[in-house]
Amino acid sequence: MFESCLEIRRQFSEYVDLETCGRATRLSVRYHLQNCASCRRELELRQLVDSDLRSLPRPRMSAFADLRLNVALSRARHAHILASLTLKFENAFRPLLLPASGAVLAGLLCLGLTLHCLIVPPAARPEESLATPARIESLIPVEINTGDSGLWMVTHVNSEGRVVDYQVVSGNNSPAVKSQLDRLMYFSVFHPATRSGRPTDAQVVLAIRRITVRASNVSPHEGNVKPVSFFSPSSTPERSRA
Amino acid sequence: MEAVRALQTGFDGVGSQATEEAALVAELQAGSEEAFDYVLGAYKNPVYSLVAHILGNDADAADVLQNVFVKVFRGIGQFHGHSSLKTWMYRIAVREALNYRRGWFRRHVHEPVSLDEESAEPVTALSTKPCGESPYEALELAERQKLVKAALAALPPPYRAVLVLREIDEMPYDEIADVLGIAEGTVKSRLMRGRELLRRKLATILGH
Repeated sequence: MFESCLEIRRQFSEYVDLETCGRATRLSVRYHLQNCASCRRELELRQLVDSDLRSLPRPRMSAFADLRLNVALSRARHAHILASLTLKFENAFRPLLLPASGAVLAGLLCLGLTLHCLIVPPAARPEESLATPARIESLIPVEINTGDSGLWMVTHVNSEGRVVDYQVVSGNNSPAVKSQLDRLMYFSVFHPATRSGRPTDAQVVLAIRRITVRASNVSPHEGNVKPVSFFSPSSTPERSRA
Repeated sequence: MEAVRALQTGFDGVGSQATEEAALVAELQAGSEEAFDYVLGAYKNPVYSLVAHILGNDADAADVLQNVFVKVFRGIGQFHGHSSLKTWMYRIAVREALNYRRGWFRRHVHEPVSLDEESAEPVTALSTKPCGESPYEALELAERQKLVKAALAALPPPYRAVLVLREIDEMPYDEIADVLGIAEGTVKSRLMRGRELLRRKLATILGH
């Protein structure tokens, strides 16, 4: 009951609130205030400050702040992570969409052309698939002694199916055999090689082994003369090997 | 929507209020936009007032208010009803307000000042003067409020927050303790210390 002014003033905060102030505290403060003018003055000042605080105007939101709040909340309501990421991705890449599409298409075109050149096999080329080799159509009756090793020769056939030249590559190359070969080549008829349906010059490699030709119109499979190679589209006259 | 309608028409009692608030929270957690609009309409001005008094700056208060309601909207799923919805929202608001000015840049950068609001303050005070109060008295009151506001803004943030919650929002001690996440004894001591500091500052300014 006989606290100092300092102790009493420490209890002013509780005393003015009345909410947590116990009965004993209330009584002791009241008793002190009855006898202490300085503390009464101090209490009045504190109550005045509290009153000033309570009388402070409550600030209200401006219309602009309200608008900003609504915009922020609207964004928050509709800002799911996936949607947000999608939107950011679209905003970032939409300007690049047309150039990127053009670049991808150009790349695909180049790749397609490159692969086309790389993948298509030479045999499938149209100019070769439309080519046919020269072949024997008829032989004159002739008897040639080629020996056991046979005779290999390269024959140049023109577009009319006639032999314009030949070279003996291996075998008996005696004058007697050569004379017989001249007769054979001169009078024999070939079916010319063709390219894209048109007759063209070509070479035919013939292998002759101990033959006796007695009649014309002998197919190469029935006789002993075998065309073993023909046609090469890269040179003129045409050269080929099979 | 029943909870929102019930809240809009008033409550029958404390138990009914708690029930209706639980229903409102359930609707908020279910994503009801109507419930959120109701909460926004009911609390945006009190929360704005609280934040503006703690910060002492209306422009910053608008920024903080956005953060508060965005956090309320996003965090309503984590609200378990251990405190009232108002206490939970005030807790977010006080934390946001106290954290807002912690950065060096924000403390040292020039304060944004709304010319409209600054110039409107005395006019508002004069226009809302009680009947029988002379313009001179109204002007004196407005000037006094301005000084009190400045003295309050000069207090350290923990004392300022307690004083605002107690004197301006008239919250009981236990609710203040719940909002600030401190013990009731700490609320009492901060309140006592805050009042003392404020009285000294005002005594210096007003010459008491």
